[in-house]
Amino acid sequence: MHIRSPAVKFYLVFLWAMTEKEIKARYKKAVFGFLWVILNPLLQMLIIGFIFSFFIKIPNYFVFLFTGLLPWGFVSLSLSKTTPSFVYERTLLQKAKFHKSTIPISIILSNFFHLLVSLGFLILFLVVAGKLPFPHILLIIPTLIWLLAFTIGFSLLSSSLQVKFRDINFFVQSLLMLLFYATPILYNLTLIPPDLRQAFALNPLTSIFELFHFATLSQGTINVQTLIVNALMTFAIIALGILIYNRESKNFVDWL
Amino acid sequence: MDKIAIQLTNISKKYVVHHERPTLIDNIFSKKNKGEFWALRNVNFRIPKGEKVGIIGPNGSGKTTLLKIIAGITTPTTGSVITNGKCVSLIELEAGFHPDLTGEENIYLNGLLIGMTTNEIKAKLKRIIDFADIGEFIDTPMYTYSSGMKLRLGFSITVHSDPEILILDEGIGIGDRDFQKKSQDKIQEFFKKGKTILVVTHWLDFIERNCNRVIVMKKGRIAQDGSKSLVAQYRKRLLHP
Repeated sequence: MHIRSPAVKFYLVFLWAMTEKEIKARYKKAVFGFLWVILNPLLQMLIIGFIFSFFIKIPNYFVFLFTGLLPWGFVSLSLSKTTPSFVYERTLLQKAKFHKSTIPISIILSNFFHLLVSLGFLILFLVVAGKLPFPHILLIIPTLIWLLAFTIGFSLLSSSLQVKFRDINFFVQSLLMLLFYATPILYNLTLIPPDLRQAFALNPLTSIFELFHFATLSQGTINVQTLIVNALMTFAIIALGILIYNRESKNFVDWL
Repeated sequence: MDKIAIQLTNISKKYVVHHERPTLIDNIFSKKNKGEFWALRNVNFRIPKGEKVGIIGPNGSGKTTLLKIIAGITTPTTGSVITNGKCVSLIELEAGFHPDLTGEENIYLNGLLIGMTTNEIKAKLKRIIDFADIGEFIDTPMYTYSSGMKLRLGFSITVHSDPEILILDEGIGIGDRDFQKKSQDKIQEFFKKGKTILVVTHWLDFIERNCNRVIVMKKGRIAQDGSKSLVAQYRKRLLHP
């Protein structure tokens, strides 16, 4: 890749160094570092699958759950780690002038790397089982980009606000608890009465998770109207995140 | 114009005084009148390249805020800052070290953080390690380091980044006695090299010995700006207020 602007290049080099730090640090702490990436959603799948398969009738329910739990793990871990990240890194912010946005974005990118690895395992499993839906699976690329963009936008917003208002983290924590049930992870929208489906358009994660299910298992349907509303909401969140970050980041140090 | 290292025009900095940590709930539901505090008011000065400036004044007169604004760590409420050349401050030397990464990995991360390029760090790696006197610890994770070692490594990275503008905020002597001598020598080297240096310290002898310009701050304003004879005046005022 050839990048002309030295400022952009330096930003990317620094962002990459920060991301590498996050990834390396994780594996130096845990011997089974990589194993945990896959083991954690696997265990969740087993316990949730065992209970909910009594109530929810979806074919291949365990695999269905797994395809939703992987991106959910990414979103919830990223948002709960990035929201207080500027506050945790206060000494770093007081040390030098640098691109502060690399703090939350590097955390997200390292989690994204883990998501890609575990998705690789999932796809491998689907290939071996002879169940990989082609060409549906290609949809996973725009879906992943959407998921990444949403997470970065939201975290810029929540982490910037957390510097000034220390209760934002509590909001985010309870929002994540609610979103886990309000997002089609344990179920899909075909199980929801048609009148109520409209309400799901209010959750920007709806389309992302429906797309995940559709891409990996060709299950569920994509509602174009919901998709458009969700996409617009994602843009709004990203725009707001960048706006608030740009306005607040200049004076972060004054609040730490 | 290119002979100017730092130029401050009409710099003012306002802080909001809050007695407890603000919360969003508080902000929405109660309209408590928040106090304001002007740490700096209408500060103007121009520092030519190579000048050694000592900034003195009582606690709370705005010295540290001024340095933070020049270093770009925070931004002024009004006014503009122009700095020419890389500006590095010897504060929070250990910040940014990750305990689980090795010394070498941390050198790269910290070097990038203060504005060095990867190639520059690669070229200076050996010198940084030697100066910090870390030895074989360089390949072990940072949590095995003593606090003195971390401080030495932080200092070594900062001084090897070869800044054009150096900011010293109190931390002039660091580490054990041997390293204090070594770091002093290094700082003296900067003074001799024609770098622009800003010092904030209560150690008046240091300023008298090393600076050729003295700025006296008082309540967020510049009270006096002149030669180092101001130090003697300032000392007299401290003794006979």
